[in-house]
Order: sequence, then structure tokens, then C-alpha cells
Amino acid sequence: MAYTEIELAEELKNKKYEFGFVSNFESDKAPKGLNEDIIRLISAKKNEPQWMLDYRLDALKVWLDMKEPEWAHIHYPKIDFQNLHYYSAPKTKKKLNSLDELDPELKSMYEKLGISTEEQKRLTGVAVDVVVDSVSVETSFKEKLGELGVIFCSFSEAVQNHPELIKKYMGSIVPTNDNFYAALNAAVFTDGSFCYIPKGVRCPMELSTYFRINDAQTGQFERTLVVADSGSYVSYLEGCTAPMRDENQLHAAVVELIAMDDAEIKYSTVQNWYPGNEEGKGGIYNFVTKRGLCEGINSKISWTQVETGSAITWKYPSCILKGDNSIGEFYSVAVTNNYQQADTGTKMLHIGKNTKSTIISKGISAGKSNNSYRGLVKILPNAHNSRNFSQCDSLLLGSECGAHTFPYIETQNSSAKVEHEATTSKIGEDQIFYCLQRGIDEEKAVSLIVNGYAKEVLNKLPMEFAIEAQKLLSISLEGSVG
Amino acid sequence: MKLPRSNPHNNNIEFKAMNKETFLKQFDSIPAHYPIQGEARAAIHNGLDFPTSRDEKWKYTRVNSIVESSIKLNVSTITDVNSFKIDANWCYLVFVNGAFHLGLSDALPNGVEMTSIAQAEGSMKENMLAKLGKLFDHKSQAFPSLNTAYFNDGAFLSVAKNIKIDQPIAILNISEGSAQASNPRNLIHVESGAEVKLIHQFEGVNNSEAFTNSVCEIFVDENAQTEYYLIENEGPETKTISSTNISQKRDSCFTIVTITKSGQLVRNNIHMAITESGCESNMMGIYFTDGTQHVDNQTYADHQDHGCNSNELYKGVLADRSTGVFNGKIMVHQAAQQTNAFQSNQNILLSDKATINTKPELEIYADDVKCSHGCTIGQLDEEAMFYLQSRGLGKEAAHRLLVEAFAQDLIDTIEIDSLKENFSQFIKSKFE
Repeated sequence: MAYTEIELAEELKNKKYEFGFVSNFESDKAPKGLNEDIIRLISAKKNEPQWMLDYRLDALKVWLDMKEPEWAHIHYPKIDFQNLHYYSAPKTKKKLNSLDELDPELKSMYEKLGISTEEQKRLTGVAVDVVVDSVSVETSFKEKLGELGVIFCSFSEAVQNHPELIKKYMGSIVPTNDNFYAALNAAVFTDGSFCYIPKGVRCPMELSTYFRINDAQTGQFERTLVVADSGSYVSYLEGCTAPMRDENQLHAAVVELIAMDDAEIKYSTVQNWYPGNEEGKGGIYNFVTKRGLCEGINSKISWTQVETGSAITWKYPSCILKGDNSIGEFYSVAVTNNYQQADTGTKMLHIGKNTKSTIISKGISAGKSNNSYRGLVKILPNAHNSRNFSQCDSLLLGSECGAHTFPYIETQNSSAKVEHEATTSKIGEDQIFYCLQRGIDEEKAVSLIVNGYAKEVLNKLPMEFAIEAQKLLSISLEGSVG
Repeated sequence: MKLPRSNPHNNNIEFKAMNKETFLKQFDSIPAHYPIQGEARAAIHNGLDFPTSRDEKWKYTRVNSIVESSIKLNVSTITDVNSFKIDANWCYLVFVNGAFHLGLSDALPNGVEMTSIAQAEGSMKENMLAKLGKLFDHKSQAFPSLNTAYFNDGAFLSVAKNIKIDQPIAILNISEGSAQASNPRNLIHVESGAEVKLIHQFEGVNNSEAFTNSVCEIFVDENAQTEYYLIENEGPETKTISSTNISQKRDSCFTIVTITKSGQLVRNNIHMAITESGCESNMMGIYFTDGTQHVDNQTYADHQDHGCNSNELYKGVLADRSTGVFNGKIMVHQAAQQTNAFQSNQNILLSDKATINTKPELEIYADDVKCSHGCTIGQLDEEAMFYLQSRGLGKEAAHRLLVEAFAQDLIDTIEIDSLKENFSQFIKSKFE
């Protein structure tokens, strides 16, 4: 029988989240709820020193006094924070030296994701620190990095082995009382990555962490800390996929970056967590606090993100431009489809002289989704000759979605130059017509045009990420036209 | 120095208000003319609070200085308003301290009817009551509610069908006497096919510490064309909150130009409801601030139906320790396909102590639209300054020329020559 158009439409509608599957390995799970005992349990499980436990307990106190923020342009049922597991770890906790020692189930999971660590190791020279649920199970290239003095390890290891660095920098950019989700994270974070680049070292490879949320009903609370000492350079990749589940899952990560004099940090993210089905059921709630501090003169922090997943995205990677001549950049593509909601953007705080920031944000909304850009550019009185350029474009596919822009611009210095522009439009019928005429079907045409629209940001991604991101854009928008 | 100037004709109502109730009490002697005023009084006394910095729309503007001030309700003594007239050929309707002053007002051109809201009678009263308070929710917004609760007069102006009025009509609101509090209320109805140019001018006499809380509702019917100029010039020590809500019907055209000349604290709220298709809406504004002035412009273009265009341009020049705020919002509802909406806010900071907070927002639920917004903050172009100075212009002159050039495209949107001239003079005066 011939394959009809109706069948195709049906297939697209029911197209399942490609990476939605559940691996069945046993987890080591804490009981539901959040209280002092759970914190002590997490801390004890991880063999943490007393100061770390105290830090968590303080954070819990702060969190209990805080209210969930409601200002974002997102709507969702109240989260019952006492009905979540705050700790889950894969049972295999033995240290692994090679991939062969890995749980075969885990291994096949990575392969399904198309991120065969072996291949990545061999072909691209990427050191991958894989985080499954909450515990780092495998760290590669450690020795190679060790020669240069680069520390790249899981956060728990860093707490054990480099307590002086953790004590000094943890919470210095995103303090415990910064916001509701940051406080929650500080109390219950289970693991994450730590990276320290010593003076004058240019990290020879891109450092990468793949996150995976696996167990149903476990909030995942990652903590990432990247410190680039004077004159160093590092490019850090963070990519995420999660299996399909009906229950909403909560994710509240904290990422802190610090760049000293002349240091540069490039932080790239591809986020592809389960966005929920076409009726808006399920999906990940993603409440992330990401902030970078350009501490030294001539330092630079660059955020690049491609956000295609999550039912709710609440994320504002920010730069504090404290050092003179420091540079902050934010490049973002956010795609929402079906009932997804994204409220994302950035904050650029200009404190030092001659500081520069660039914001390029591309929002794409389809289906019944809502996509908001929310940003702050603040020029403080001493930020002489500072410069900001912001561009926020929105593309609407379909008549039931929304695209919103909420930029805040506060300037207190007369020598500063700040520009902001935003546009909202849809794909031109003439563009589609042109493609159709040349034998490219509508779906492909849309994908082509969207990729072109997002090119400015995709170009900023490291090569292998750029390819993945392009694929993601197409997958996320499938079935949204016609 | 903020010395209250003495006025022998004060009505001697003076309180030191410390909280909302004490503040409101000061208005108690004003009679309520209509039931809506009673409702608003109940709302504002029960539960409805004055905004704080926690209210997103008032993030940058504090109203403590208003709510904690003592106010007076002075009796007017004014006998001559010619010095306030920008152009003697306009038709002036004069209100002093909120009350209509028939003796100082001019006769209206044919086709325009006006009644004082407090003294409306017969069919005019019916028409007025059918519209009064329809564009404001007097139960949820503190300042419009305060106005509704305590306005003692205002103009109900109605322009008849298909009439083109050439003579500009000016509503002149004068606030007289120190700490004078006025709640001017105006209602304008431009019937279908009519064309009119309106000026709403705020002036002050010996009115340091005065507080004016104006509300204006404007109904623009099918095919009507209206230009509305809001001129705020109440004096350097006054506080003004002005709320203008407009409702536009099919194929109508409405332009509002806000010119803020003086005021310690000025807050302008403009809400433009574009309810039917084919409308054109323009919002322009200019603010030149110095000293410790604070000028806050809030605009809302509410696109409810398809095929409408809206344009917005606000420009500011901020000197000394002054603060400027701009918050523009374009809302495009799902039904408002084929909307073109543009918004731009440009600012020049002349001092390191000056601050500008700007927030141009878009909220869009329709896909077949073209919307853009932009904002810039910068300073006078150094190269241009150098160019002018190298040709023998003094620094001051070069400065003035560039600021004038910056404001020129806004001045060009003013369609009344005498007003244009008046405004150019105002810019020049800023450099004297």
C-alpha cells in the first residue's frame, strides 16, 4: 500500500522522543522528602567533610525561608518539593580505568545516545566526564590533563582532593541565598564537575560532561565550578538528554565560572531533555542558575546555548564583568514546541572600565508553546566606555504560539553605549515557496530556514556540537508545520 | 530650596500624612458626584495599596514622596491665563485646580461640544456617564482609582460625526498654590469620521510641592482621526502622574505626543487599546531632564484585532543627576494577525550621575506579524562634536545643535506649527 500523506502526518504527530528509553540498572535511592536527615544522608553517602555538611545545612535553612519565584512568564502546577527523591546513584561505584569495565547497560545507553565515549575519545580528543543521575562514574583523559596541571574531576572528588579550591570558590559567584533554586541546589547537590586550569595553560582539548537524568522522580542537582587562572583558556561542553517519563522531573543546577586576568572560558550547552508529549504531559522542569565572573582584567566568558528540550526552561546564564576590559558573550537558540515554555536570557553586569558584552538570542516557537527572552544589561557608574549590543529575534511557527521579549536596560554611565534590538516575525511564504519550487518539501524547508536563522549562534558552537545542534533543531520542530 | 510659598487664599486643609489613610483623608472634603466615585473610594480605602518597588510596573519609581506628603486644596485666584497660551488662536478650555473656569475659557468651534463633568446635564450627562470610567479599572490601579474617587471636575469633550476641526482645542490645567493636589479628569469622544487636534497642557503657578494625578479617557470611533499632545510643564518641584487610556475603533488613527518639560517626578501611563481592524496608532514622547528630575514613561500598545499598525518613538536627553525610565510594551493577541508594531527608545546621557532604565517589551501570540523594538543609550557623537568645533562653533553651540538634531525627528511629528516652534524654543532654553 502506498504511503499516504495522512499516514505521514500521523507518524510525525506521534513521533516519539528519540532518546526516550529507560535503562534498568538498580539505583541507590534516598527516601522522598527534604529535611536535615536527608542532607546528612547525602553528605554521609558521599563521605563529605564536616565543612561541606555545614554548608549544605546552612543552605537548607536559607531555602526553607525562601519562596518560589513567580515572575517568569511560565505556568506550571506547584512542585511538591517534599515528594521528590533527592539522591539516587547507580550501584556500581567502583572506580573504572577503562570503558570495558563499565556496566554494559550503561554502555549501551551511551551508544543509543550516539555519544560513544570511546569514539569521542579517539576521534575528537574530547575528555568526557559522564554523569549518570548524580554520581560521576567515569572520568577520562585525567592523566593527560594532569600533566598540564589541569584538574578536571567530579565535584565529589574535588571536595575530597582539593578542598582548599572548593572552599575558596564554591558559592562565590552564586551564593546560597542568591535564589530559591540556587539555595535548593546548595543544600542537596549530589555531584557535578569541577575544573581548574592553572596559570598560563591553554587546555588542549574541549572538556565535556554529558548529563543524563535516569530514575523517575529524582530531582537532579548538579553543581559545576570552572576556575580559569590567569592567562588560561578552556572550552567546556555540556550536553544533555533524558529518557521519557510521564512524571515531571525537576532539575536545578548551579554553574559557576571564574576567569582571572587574561583568562577565557567558553561554555557551550546543548540541552535536549524530554520536553513532554504533544499534549504537554510530562517533561523536565529545568531551573538553572548559571553565572560567570570576569574577575581579572582582559578576561572573557562566553556562553553558548542551544535549548530544545525541557517542558519548562528557566535559565539566565550571566556575566559579571568586574575586571577592566573584560568581555561577556551570550549566544542562544531556544526552541519550543507543543506546550513547552521557555523563559531564558542573560544578565550582563558592567562594573569595570571598557567592558564589552554581546547578546544574540534567537527564539523559535511552534505549536502551543511560549518562548520568552528576559535579560538585563546594567552599566554601573564606574563602567566607563563600556559597550553592549543585544539582539533578540523571535520566529513564530503557527498561530497558537507566543514569543515575548522582556529586556531590562539600566545605564548609569554617560560614556557607555548600549544598543538593543528585537524583531518578531514568521517564516516568509516566499521563502517556503522558493524551497518547494526546488523540490524541497515543506518540513525540510522549514528546517533549512530555521537552521539558517540560527546559524549565527550555531557557528559559535564547537564543531561536533554544532552538528548535533542542527539535528536537534530539525527533530524539535518536526510536525510543527502544515 | 523647597520653601513652600505662602498663599493667603489657601483653604487651610493641611495634614502631615504618614500613611495611606492619612493621605487619603486629605481628600475627604471633595464631594462625590457619581456612584462610580463611591465605588472607587471603597476600593482605595479597602485593600488597594499604592505601588511599591516590588510592583514590576513601578520598579524604578517610588511614590513615597507623594503618599507621605501633605497636600492642600487651594482656592484659585487666577484672573489671566494668557501667559500660558502657546498660541492665542487655539481654543482654550481652562481648569484651575481641577475646576472648570468658564470666564477664562474660549468659545468652542462648531461641531465640538463640551461640558464640565461635575455640572453635566441632560443628554450630555447620559452620554458622559455611559463612558466615564469605562477604560480604567478603578478597583485595581491605585492612582487612577484615586482620581476616580476624588476628581472634582474635568472636561467631557465630544466631537461630532464627520466634522473636521481645524482650530486646535487645548485643555489647560493649571495647578495653583503650594502643595496643591488636583485630580483632573477628562473624557474625550471623537465620533466616527471626525478629525481633531487636541492639546492637553499642564501648567502651574506658585505651586511648589504640588501633586497632580490626571486621568484621561479617549474614545476614537470608526474612521476618526485624532492628534493628542500632552504637555507637562507644572514647575520644577511638582509631582505628576498622568494616565491616558485610549480605545480605538475600526480604521481610526490616533497619535499621542508626550512632551515633558518640567516636574520633579513625572509618571506617564499610556494604554492604547486597538480594538478593531485597520487602525493606526502612534505614540511619541520626549523628555529632557536635569537636576534630580525623575521621568517615567510607560506605554502599552494592546493589539486586539488584525491589520493594525502601531508606531512608537520615545527620546530622552538626561543631564545632571536625573533619572529616566521607559517601559514600552507591545501586546499582540492571537486575533491580531497582520499586525505591524514598532517601538524605539533612544537616550543620550550627558552626565555620569544620570541614569536611564529602559525596558522595551514584546508579548506576541500571533504569528503573521512584524514587530520590532529597539533601544539605544549613548552620548553625543564625539566626531560630530569635533567636526562642528573645528568649524568654529563653540562647545555649547555644537552641543545644542546636536541635541536639537537628535530631537528633530520627534519635533517633525508635531503637526501644529506654533507648537513645533514652542518646543524648539524649549530645547534652546535648556542651554541658556
